[in-house]
Amino acid sequence: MATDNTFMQFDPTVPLDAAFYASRRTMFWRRRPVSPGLQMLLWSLRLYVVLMLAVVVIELARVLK
Amino acid sequence: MSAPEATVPTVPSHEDFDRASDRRMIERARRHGSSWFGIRVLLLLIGPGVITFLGENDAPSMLSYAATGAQFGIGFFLPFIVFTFMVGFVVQEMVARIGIATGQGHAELIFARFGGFWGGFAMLDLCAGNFLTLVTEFIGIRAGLGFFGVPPLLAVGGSILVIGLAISTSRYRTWERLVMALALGNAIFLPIAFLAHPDAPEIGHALLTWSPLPGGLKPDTIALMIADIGATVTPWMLFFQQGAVADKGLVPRDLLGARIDTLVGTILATVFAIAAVVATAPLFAHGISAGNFQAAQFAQALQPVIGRLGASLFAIGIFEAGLVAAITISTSSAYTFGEVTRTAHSLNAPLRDGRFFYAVLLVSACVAGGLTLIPGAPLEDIIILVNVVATLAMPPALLFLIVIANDSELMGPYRNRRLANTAGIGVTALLVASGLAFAASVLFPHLFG
Repeated sequence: MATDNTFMQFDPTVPLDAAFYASRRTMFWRRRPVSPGLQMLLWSLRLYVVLMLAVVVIELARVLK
Repeated sequence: MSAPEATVPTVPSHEDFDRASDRRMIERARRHGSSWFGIRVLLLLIGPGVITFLGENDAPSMLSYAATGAQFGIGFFLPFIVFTFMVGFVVQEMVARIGIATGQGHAELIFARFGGFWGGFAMLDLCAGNFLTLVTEFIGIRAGLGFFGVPPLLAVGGSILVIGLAISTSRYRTWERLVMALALGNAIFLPIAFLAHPDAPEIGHALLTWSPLPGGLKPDTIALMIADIGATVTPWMLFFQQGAVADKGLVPRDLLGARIDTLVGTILATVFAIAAVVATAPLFAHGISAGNFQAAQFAQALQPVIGRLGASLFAIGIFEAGLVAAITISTSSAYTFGEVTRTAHSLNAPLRDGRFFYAVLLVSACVAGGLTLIPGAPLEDIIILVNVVATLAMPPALLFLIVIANDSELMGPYRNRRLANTAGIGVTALLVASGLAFAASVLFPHLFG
């Protein structure tokens, strides 16, 4: 992660800054473990979205009528 | 804070050098230390937040505010709109902070941290929402210019040309300044509000005292309330602002500036949204039913009340709102596509390097615009419902946002504190409750009188 010091410790020139941006852009983060609680929450909200979309379709059919 | 799994040594590309030279400009202004240069630093940092919020004051949102003013006046809805924008600020501040701490886009982080399965769902919500909203932006563009007799093909084609011109510079900074200038055109709703001869003490009273909802809580009212919430918080805003913050190259040192940028965007968008409600409130006062008005009809209905000039400005306002949002929403789709496919996703990328990014941006705009040209398509009927859909798709997006904002590995010292978490969870609960209220009003309308 970038810190304030990245720019403060040196008197950076543009190429140095560009190298910093390149490394930040290509940084790859490993997958985090998803706890059972979080997984349940994700599934609940997924179900919520599907149900709500069904409600929207019903409302849309009414509007179009 | 542990290190990421792998950091591939990378040769800086064109986009990195562009970002670096923008950074030099900010640092040079910062070194001066005078208050004048302090303002200059702020002006250099401002952009993503203002564009996001003014982009969200889009055609369906402004029509939603107009419908609100015309159907219910100002008593209940002015403080309600202020409240929804406060909700918007809480969410977008988190987004800006994540963008600054990680330097990466929202889709990129969801895929990296949650994997393709959950990432795929998030993308599905985003793509569906973005496409529907983009269609309504072009409906707004068409209707706004249609008031002046501009043929639909010219209106849609011209707007796509403007989107193309904005990205043709292959420079984020130029794009940002151009879009910000266009977005400030949202201020056109201020003179329209003045032409409606508003009663200043009444507006002050409405803002300071939250009046009861005229006519009570009915199914139509709930839909409009949710549309107004969807006019301030939608999934594309998360993906766009984080992508733009990363593209601009903001670093933790710029956090205060990014917060001010988000706050300025929130305040401007709130003022312009209130102006739209105030502008159409005379229709409510004159007892004109505006429940089923569309863009051009609103302008026509307003003409006897605020004159030809006011009606013309309203039509221009809807066109402008649609154009700016078409630019920002198609850019959010393009950022997301590039982040997920790990191809170039920067407005600093030369056309050759970022060909897929620019292609997604333009093709999504062309397809959405093209749909609005199909004769007889009942697209205008969905214009208010689009904001409802945006609100309903928001809770899962907020969950990803809150989890990422609490991820100490990604965020380090910039992770959420208790206040931000309370506000974020409160907003999510509020949106879920609003969705359930909407579902109840649709499935059991008799419960709402």
